[in-house]
Amino acid sequence: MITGKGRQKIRPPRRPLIGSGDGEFDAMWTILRDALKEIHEKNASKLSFEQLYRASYKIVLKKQGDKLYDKVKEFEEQWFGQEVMTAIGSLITLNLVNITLGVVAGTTANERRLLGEAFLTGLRSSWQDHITVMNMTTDVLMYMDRVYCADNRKASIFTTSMGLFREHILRSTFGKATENSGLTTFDILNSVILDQIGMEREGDVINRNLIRSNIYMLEGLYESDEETENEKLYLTVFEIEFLKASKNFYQKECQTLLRESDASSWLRQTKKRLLEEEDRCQTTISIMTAPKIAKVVEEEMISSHLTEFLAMEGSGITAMIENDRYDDLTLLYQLISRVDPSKNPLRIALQARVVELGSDINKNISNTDLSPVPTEEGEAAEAEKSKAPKQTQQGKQTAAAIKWVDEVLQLKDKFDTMWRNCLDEDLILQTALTKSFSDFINLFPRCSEYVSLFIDDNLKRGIKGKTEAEVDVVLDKATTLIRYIQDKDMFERYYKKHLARRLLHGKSESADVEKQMITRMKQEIGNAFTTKLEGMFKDMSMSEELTSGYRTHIRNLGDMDRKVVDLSINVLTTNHWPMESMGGANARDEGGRHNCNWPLEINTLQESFKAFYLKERNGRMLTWLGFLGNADIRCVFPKIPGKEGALGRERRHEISVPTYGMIILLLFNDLANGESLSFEEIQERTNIPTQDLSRQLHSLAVHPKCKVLTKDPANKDQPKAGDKFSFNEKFTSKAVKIKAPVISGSINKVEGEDERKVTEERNDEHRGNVIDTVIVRIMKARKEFTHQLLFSEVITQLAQRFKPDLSMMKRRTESLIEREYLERVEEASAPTYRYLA
Amino acid sequence: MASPSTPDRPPSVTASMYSSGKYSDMTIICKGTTFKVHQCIVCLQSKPLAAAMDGNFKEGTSNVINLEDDQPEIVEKMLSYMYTSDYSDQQNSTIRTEITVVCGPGGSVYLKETTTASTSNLVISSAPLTNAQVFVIADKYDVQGLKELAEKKYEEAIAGSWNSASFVASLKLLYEETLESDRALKDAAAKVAGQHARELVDRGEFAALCKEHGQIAFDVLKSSILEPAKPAKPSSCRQCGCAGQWFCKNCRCHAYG
Repeated sequence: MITGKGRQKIRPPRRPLIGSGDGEFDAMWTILRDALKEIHEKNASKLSFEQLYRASYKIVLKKQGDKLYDKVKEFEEQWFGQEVMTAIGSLITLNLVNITLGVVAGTTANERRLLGEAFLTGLRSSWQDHITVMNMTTDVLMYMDRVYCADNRKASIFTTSMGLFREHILRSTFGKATENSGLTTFDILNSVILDQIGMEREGDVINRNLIRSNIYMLEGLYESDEETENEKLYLTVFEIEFLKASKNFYQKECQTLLRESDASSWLRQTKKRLLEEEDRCQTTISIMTAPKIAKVVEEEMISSHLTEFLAMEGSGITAMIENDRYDDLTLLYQLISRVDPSKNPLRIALQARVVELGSDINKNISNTDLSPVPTEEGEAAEAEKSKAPKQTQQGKQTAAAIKWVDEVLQLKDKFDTMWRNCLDEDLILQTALTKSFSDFINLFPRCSEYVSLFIDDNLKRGIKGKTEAEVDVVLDKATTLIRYIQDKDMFERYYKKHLARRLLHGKSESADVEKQMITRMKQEIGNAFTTKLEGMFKDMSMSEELTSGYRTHIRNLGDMDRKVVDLSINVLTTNHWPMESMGGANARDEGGRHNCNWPLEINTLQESFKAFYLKERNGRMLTWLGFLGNADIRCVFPKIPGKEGALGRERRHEISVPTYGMIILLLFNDLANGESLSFEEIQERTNIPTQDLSRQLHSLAVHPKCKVLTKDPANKDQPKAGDKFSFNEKFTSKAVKIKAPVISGSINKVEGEDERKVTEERNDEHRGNVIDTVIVRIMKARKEFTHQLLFSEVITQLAQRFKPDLSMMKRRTESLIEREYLERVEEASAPTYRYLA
Repeated sequence: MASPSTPDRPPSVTASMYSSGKYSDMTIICKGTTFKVHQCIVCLQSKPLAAAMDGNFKEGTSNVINLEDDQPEIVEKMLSYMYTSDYSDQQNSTIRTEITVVCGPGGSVYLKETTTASTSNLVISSAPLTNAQVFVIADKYDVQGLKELAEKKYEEAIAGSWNSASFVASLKLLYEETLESDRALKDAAAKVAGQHARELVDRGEFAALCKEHGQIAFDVLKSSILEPAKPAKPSSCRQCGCAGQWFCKNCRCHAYG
């Protein structure tokens, strides 16, 4: 040893380390062993950490880490054997073992609970001691852990001691009782915890914290010293047991509920259990188990007997919907959503219910509808008798239509409310509900007509005095209904018809609302659908301009000699207006538009307007529609000599009659007093279609309100060939202005069976044309196309308008082949068509 | 205290904490030298020191730790690193040490440290040894950043002053006080030693060290084979100037020199 010259002798010389004796190690180990003992006995506060750390550091530096490691392990094993196991062993009593084995003789729940708690407390404290001690040990041996264990791929001393705890405490048997049964501490622990949880499920209060501490222990221990996350003893042993026990428990509980309770309490109990288990995972066991136990409850409590509960009489899904049990439905929805993201059982039940209720509505309406089959107006035989009741019958049917729509809307409201309140606005269910509504609405053959009538009714009267918001609600409803209708073309047909009448007869309440409705339909169905309707509106405003323009024109002529006839005119574009359904019922049948003979005065007027109209619009053709429009006629009834009262005076009346009525009445202007005209004569001179003429004459000569003509024979029969008519000089009325009663034409109401048939035929014909067009368009683009693809393409293209009938499509294709638009491709394997340019 | 802060910048907060020792909540004693330090600085950077303070041991209650076995100047460098992220490996004014490696009786090699006296020719850098010592203490107290810094400084230091007693002393220290598996510094030292083996064998203490430590001798030998000393002038063909074997393939001559 060399000493320095100065005062500082800093580094003592070192001996060579290699081969430094075991003596040095033993000295160090003695220090450490004594310290470990102190630590285990909780007397560490006198120990110097630095000294211990240095000792272990030195040992490791001298490559004796393995020796130290083994010694520490040996020490721990000894400690477990001598101290910890005796403490645990004393906690495991015979009773505890018996409980675990299921031999519960003479122990009450309370006794069991106390016994279990004592065991859990003991285990907890030995675990907690172990953790504290091992933390300190690890600190002291930190250098060994960091260097020796890491370099040699050895589990850290902490992990090793955990393994020792697992092997020596949890997986060993104690005392005679357990040795005989082969139970380990772990088995007892599981059974005690499960027993406690079972008690809590029954409503007892247990010490959750105590269980939680023991669960922490299981979470901190692993199957092996690798300490892989999914090998926690909690997961590999306890959780499995727990789930198994829970499964049994809930199986039994669900069966009890099925036997003894109703669906409502089942829902509540299930919900409660789900919350309880969630809570348990958070407070008593591990949150890791939450999804798993939830699944067990879902499976056992919800899925397994779902259909049985749903079908329960008086509390099942039918009753819930029927009685607006929103709470139950909400719960049901929540529970079903948990087990089945498509919510199939609920969806099917809801759909079935919608269709059922909807069919009920359909059936009710059909019944009132069909009872007395309304007779066609043309049938003369019992016309007179059925007249009065028929009117009301018609009214009733219209009311029925409105009622049908109202009920459908009510149903829709009901389900909408339910959907919003209970079903969390679920999209799948909404689609399902929409489909069901669409299904039953389209099952009802007259849905298009009824919906259009409903809109008609609202636009005529319904929206009177309503605020904008309320009108919006009505329009929303109407839009909803339109959405459901499959045969949009049928609806368009009816809507056009009803709209035409509203417009021409000035029945529409608000042009603004009408336009809103059109806009909505445009959004809902598309442009193609509304162009014609918009055309109708355009015609109307154009006509207004025309009328005032014409008036100015006449005034400027200054031709005051002429008897002035005030003309108000509507010019209708042929394509936009449904001529057939506007009242010219026969026009079509008789081939082309029917021309009646106009009286001279009117003719002059027409010519004058035509000249005015064509001045700016050259090349157009104007056709005058006698079956539309009306005229105000001033009539003078002479005083009848020798009569008192009203008849004794000259009476002036202003009579409003349809255009045809005007033509008829003007004939009588030229007639001398007392002369008469026969039915045939009138028809010959006016050229009014028989049916219209008869109808007109009925209102003028039979109906008491405006009996300006007399009929011979004077009965109440429908006027027919052979009858004679003359001016009724004796006509009296209290009103100055009289409106001739309208037999039909201006009121929108339900069609009769025959009318309907005609409408359908017409619609089919129209569809035929549409299908033709679509096929030709597709084929033109594709040149060659298989039958299968062509048809599916046609269906897709037409889906917006209607659902094409297969046989109709086949017929149309045949016909197109006949007309040489298409031909069959002979050599193709699948049936194929080719477009012929 | 050697603070790396530049004169135009005020010393950092932690540096002033260290230099003033104010608000200290922990005391490190080392061979009579007392350091007033802060747990929040020291314990966060060293797990063993943290364990000492946090644990239920004597140190935990007294907040005093006695590092009996360490060198105060090295402890100071560790603390300097903890507070300023740097330390100085140059001689400082307070503790002036001179280290020589002396061949003792029996052929053993000892490290001898003395205060620098007037012997002017002996003023050599002690940086290699200091850095190696810092490396050892950083390993002992698990201060990862310091280990890396010491390694870097060591490599820089030995590149310049390999031919010194300090380098030889550091070699000895590394082979005795770090783990066999911890090769980073040893490799660097052996590499330098290998490169300069020819010169080093002339140093008595190096020769003695090699005789004592077969491992060192072997490592230096290995590296001297892998890293041959560069010849002063590479031989080249006098005619075409190409470097190559004794026989020039280009000009087929033997004109090497």
